[in-house]
Amino acid sequence: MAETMLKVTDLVSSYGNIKALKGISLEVNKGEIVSLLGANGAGKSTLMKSILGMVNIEGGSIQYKGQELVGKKSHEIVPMGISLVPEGRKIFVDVSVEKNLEIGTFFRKREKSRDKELLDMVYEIFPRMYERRNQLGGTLSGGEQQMLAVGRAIMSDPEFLMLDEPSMGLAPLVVAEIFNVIKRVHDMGITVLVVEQNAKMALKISDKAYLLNTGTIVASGTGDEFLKSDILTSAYLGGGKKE
Amino acid sequence: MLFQQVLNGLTNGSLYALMAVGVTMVYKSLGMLNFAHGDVMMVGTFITLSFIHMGIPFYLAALMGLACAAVLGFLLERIILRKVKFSSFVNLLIATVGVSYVLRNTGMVIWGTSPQLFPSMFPETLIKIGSFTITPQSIGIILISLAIITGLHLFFTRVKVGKCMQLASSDAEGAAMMGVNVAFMRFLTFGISAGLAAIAGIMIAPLTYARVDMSATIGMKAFAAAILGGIGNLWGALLGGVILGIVEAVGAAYISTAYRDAFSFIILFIVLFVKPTGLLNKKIENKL
Repeated sequence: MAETMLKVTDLVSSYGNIKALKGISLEVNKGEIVSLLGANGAGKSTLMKSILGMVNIEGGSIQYKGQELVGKKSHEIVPMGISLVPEGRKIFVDVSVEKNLEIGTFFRKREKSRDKELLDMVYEIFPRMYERRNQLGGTLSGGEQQMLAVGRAIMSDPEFLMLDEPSMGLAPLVVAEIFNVIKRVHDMGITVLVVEQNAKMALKISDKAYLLNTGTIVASGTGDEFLKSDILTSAYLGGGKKE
Repeated sequence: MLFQQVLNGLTNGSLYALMAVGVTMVYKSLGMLNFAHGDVMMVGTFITLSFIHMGIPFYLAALMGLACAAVLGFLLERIILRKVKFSSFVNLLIATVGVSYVLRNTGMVIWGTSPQLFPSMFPETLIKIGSFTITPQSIGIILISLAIITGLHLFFTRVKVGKCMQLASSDAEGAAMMGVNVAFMRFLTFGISAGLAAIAGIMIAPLTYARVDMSATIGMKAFAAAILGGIGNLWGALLGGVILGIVEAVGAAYISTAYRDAFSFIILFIVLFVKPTGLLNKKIENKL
């Protein structure tokens, strides 16, 4: 049996009076790529923000490597080895590419030599980041900004990486590149949880997938199982009421 | 004559700049102007004066006044602003206006309304170079302000806490996602901003007397300087302050002293008309 990395049990999260997650349970094992699928408003991003301690959690538990995350703040959770590549990238536009990458190293305690090692690795994965290391983040194209956000996450040397809609708004070629990078990150031994609208791409690389609809998990299975069934089509094309 | 006026302008301008930096820091971090900034300066100045009257040596008193102002800034953030954080920025703005009134009126009760002499930390002897006279005070104010702003710049670009403060103020949610303790950074921002105000007040008071209503003009000039240079921009605040100071001094000398305060606002109108982002701010587009 594989070691459990993240175990979410009956999680209920809310924004004010609105319950965004209505009792979600899922499990991510060490070394897996797990995707979260679902239409807009299903609660995928909320789940990621809940894991990072940025949403009001009303009930349930989130166990990361046996430690409870509920009740912790994001600045306590990030140093535990969890990184997020946020939706809309959230890179810092008025700071250079290299400084943006440096931010990733701020909250992870380790030896200085590891920073250099990781920076070299990021530049090797993304040669374009090296070419543009002195440019301001805001001058990069959308695809490059996404690469930068992923690079920044790698710099924090995570054990568990979450990516929120990494392909949003990008050209198909760039999307393929992003997914290749996710595979590479996974090969480095990092466990990955990815939220995607681009379900086919995500499923092809996933060990496991969960389908969310309005705050609950309506289906789960392996990537292949999802690809073969028609449950996705119904979920995305308005078949939300179907069990 | 002109050189003399420019030097006077530089002196006042450095003080405006020091105040403007505090305004700009808070603006960048919370997206609003802190109307209590001038009153925090006043409180810091009077606390220092009270310590001096108690017989505490000047520098120690100044240091204690500065610390008290910083604590006031911390409290302001923790007690008032954090409570209204989740409402609109208009509420934040009005909260600071309220704090400004409370501080000013409390100040009147404690320290009275009459202007009070404030000792200068600089020697009185004039330095004469040819036909110019320079006071050690001018030189001191200019150098101290410049050193503080340069120091802040280094703090924000070289020191990790400073960098995190910058990140938290440029994108709070993004910074939190990276692991920055955004609430703590805001707390620090207010403390530093208030401390700067106290330093400015301690240097202004010997020139203008310590007055409970000293925030009225200087607070406004600080806003004007911050906006003129490009709000949210450290060097913009410096540039804005210096320009205001020089325009005021030269305008007062050559046109009319009666319009002294008007000149700075005329300059502000002109700059905002030509370049609405202020002198040093660039627009960075967000890419989808």
